[in-house]
Amino acid sequence: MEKNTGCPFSNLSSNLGITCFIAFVTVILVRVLYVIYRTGKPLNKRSPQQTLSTLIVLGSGGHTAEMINLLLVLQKDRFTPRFYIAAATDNMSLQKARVLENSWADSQSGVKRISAEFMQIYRSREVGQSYVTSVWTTLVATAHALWLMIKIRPQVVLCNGPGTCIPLCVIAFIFKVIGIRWSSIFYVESIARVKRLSLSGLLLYKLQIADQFFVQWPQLQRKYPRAHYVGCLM
Amino acid sequence: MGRGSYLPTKSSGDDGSLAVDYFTFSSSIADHLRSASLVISHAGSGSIFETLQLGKPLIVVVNEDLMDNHQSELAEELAERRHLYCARPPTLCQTIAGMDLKSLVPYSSGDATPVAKLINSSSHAMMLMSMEGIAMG
Repeated sequence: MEKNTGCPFSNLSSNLGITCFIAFVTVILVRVLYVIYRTGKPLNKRSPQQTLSTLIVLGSGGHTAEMINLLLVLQKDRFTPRFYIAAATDNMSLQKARVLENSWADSQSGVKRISAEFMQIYRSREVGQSYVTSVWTTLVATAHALWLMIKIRPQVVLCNGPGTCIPLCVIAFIFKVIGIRWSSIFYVESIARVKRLSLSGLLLYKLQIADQFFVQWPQLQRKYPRAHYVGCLM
Repeated sequence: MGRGSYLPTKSSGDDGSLAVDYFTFSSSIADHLRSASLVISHAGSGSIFETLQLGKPLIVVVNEDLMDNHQSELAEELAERRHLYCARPPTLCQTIAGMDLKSLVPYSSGDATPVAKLINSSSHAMMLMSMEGIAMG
């Protein structure tokens, strides 16, 4: 059937290659759309109580204070083991988390060991850093985040605004798409955000990456209808 | 102090002048807040709510140099609700001169429990979805 001396096998294999590539891209796109569609949707409860490995992203200053405020009322024996991540240049946040975990361990009196780990990650952006140079530092932070996420593979991610959370949440989303782990991402926008979302919040909201997106002021709920208004948490 | 270069001068105030003391860091300022009758602070959310929850009169001074000035939104909103006074470095003097601390409205603490419950119940449901989702993927 071949009339020319050019290699027919290479024609066939390049067509096959192109077809495979298109099929692959289509599968990924369909999967991404499916994940976005299913993100945040609840089902009927059937499963018994089960522990969920939880990643807690800490940010400098008020972010950590707000996160600790939330953790104090979170069901500790359900959301365990807990992994705390803070930026490498943030000296205070992990320390505050350690103090919190220690106080819980003390009050437990040894029946169940509370499990927590503390890690640092390269920072996407320093306070005051220009957005232009932030692009490179975010890429480095993303590579580091990937490494950490592969190790942890959390089932739940809690974050409240620092730039540190973006690479982690994006990777968690990718894990959902690939099927490595379905991480439920809960984002609580900082109480300091009254009229406008932070950059992290805006990204997660627009890309529909967070399963639940909480805001603390009614002005934000009016502006971003898919957000869940929960009032001031502090 | 902080990232600035200004250092205040300590003064005991014995000679009738203003008593001044300072520290650059404390692991907890709760005791200092409790013993104060007026607090003047930068407009960070941690500082604001720690002070308001202790029921202390508060003047916040907004740091206008921060990226996209996110401090001012919270300060202005709480000032509108009359929980505190809001000033900028140039207007601090006037604010102190004209303040009426009794007119401030007490701030009642928020509650994170409903959010914790929402996270709990959503996680419950999404656990099932994850098994379904990975099976379908």
